[in-house]
Amino acid sequence: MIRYAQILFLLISSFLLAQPSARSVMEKMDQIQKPMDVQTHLKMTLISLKGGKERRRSRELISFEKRYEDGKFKSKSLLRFSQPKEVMGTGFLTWDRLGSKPDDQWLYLPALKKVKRIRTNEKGRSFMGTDFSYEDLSGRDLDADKYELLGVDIIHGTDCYKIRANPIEKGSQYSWRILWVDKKHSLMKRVEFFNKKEIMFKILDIPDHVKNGDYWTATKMIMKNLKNNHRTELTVLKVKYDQDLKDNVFTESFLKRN
Amino acid sequence: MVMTRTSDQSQINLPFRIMSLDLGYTVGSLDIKTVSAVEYRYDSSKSSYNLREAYLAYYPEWGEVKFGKLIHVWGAVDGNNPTDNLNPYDYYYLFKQGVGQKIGTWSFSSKLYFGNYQVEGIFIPKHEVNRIPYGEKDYPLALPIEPRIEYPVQDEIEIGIRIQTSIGEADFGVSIFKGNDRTPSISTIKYYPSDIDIPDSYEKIIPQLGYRATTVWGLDFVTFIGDFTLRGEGAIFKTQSSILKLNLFEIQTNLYELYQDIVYSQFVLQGEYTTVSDINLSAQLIGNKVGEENYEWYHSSSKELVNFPKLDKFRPGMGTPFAMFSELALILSSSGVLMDDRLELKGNAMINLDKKGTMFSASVGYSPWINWKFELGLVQFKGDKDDLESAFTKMEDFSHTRLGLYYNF
Repeated sequence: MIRYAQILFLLISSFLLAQPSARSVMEKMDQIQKPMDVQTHLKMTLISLKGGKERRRSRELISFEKRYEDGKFKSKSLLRFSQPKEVMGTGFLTWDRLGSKPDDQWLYLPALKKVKRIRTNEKGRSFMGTDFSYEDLSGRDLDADKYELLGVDIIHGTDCYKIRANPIEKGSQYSWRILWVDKKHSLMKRVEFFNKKEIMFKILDIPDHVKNGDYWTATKMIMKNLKNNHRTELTVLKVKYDQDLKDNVFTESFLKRN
Repeated sequence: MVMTRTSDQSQINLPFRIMSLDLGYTVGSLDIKTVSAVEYRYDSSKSSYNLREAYLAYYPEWGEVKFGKLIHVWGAVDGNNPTDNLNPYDYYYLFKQGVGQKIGTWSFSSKLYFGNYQVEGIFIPKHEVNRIPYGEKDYPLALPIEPRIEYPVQDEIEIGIRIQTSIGEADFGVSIFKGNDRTPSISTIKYYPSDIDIPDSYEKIIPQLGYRATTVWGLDFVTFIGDFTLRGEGAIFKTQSSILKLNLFEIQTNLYELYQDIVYSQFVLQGEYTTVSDINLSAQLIGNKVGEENYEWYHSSSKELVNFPKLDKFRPGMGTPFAMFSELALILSSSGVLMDDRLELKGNAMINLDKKGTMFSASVGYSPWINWKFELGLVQFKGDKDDLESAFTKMEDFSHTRLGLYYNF
């Protein structure tokens, strides 16, 4: 009996020792090679369920993003809607600053022909009526959460580490998130979001990734809102990396061009 | 689109844009754009083509350069901008939001970016005037007949400069615009004293119109207080009668010139907040005030001052057209989209804080299919029965419902 207990102890401890720490999994994911700039053509589909029937509404948009390795900014991005026609030309410009300074944001409304400086302090607010919040799209710093390895699991046919991420600082709309990270390629495959009442209310699924050159691209992201049975699908139609996007792409002048 | 009066369900016959076409072509840093519209009216079944904008834009790294027929946009608040006097207004579309209420002018503009600063210069070679409805029985603010403009402006060229910068989390803009009024005002009168024997059918006083020269100094800002956005805009207008250069044959013994030198101001303060469910709420306080008001009548040929009374209440020839509605007004607005952009709800209320008068408007837009939209709108004016000159009272009969079908392609 004692021998069996010893074997079981050895098996469990060797299993635990073989597992990397949650932090190292997240660090590995964070270190995946990323482009300095990316231009993406996206299709955004809003899907609601009414009377058992799915109702879909699609928009298309072009996104430009540039990372900065020094200076005042972490990144700059510009989003411009190209479909449907009634919102064509509507655009968002964001300058994500380093440190605690809030982001600078501008909105261009073609009907007013005006670039409006705006503020989105409320990170939990829905992004353009989708199930994604501004917080979901802004990306999180590695040091913004404390990680705990919950085990392993298979999601979308991929072996994943299951990790709990607890926000360190106040201000997040989530009390915690459960993440599934692909063991082999260190790619995020699923995220479950828990609100302040500790109830799971959103699930993000990223079933497919494609490697284009040196970079991985999530070709589809599905954010499901469990409260209202609504979901948003983001599909990448076209992507271009490292085009040496000039700084003047991320200006009011470029925002107005449609 | 069909507009019917709420009082008796009769149709309001005014022109409306039945079709708009925006075309654009981009080659590298160059854009070519045209915006045109076809205007139609039911009563005469007539349509007319209108080239609203046609311009070439060049976007180098240091800024932008535009040339052609353009609608410019200045100022920080959403509409009713006192600092934005670069384009005339089309009074038929006064209640339309955005650039739809403006008329393009042939102009040249250039914007330069210097670090934290933006400097914009605009040159307009020819003075353009507001499109004001005349003889429109369905438009209560219309003038009965189109007045003959006796005196064109002395200096057609108009120039504007605006500098914008960011200080902390706020943007500030200062501007100056030197131009001419877009609405005409009395410039001279022909006066026949009662002792002169003229038939009774002749008018004793014949006012003649022209456009005053006006310089506008503007200031605008946007800042953030927590989740609230505060926008503000103010302008000081100095308007002066043009010196009439009458030739010898025009100088008449019964001609009297009005010389006006008036300073007036307009301001708009706007607070806005977006709720977690993306409902946009905003409040605008609009005010205008006439400051120094100097006027003199003098005889055109002898240049002697004459003691004529003031003819009329001063009417600004520039600034936000809503200044004619009230000295001080509050506009409350809300808008939101529901059902994945299928349903759009808007509500506005304009309250005259100076005298009695309100305007309420609401609209529901429903888009069952992509690019198709039905819109049902209601506009209701309430004036003061004891003040028949109030714009709100005059507009009471213009209270209407509006039904429209829109297709974007």
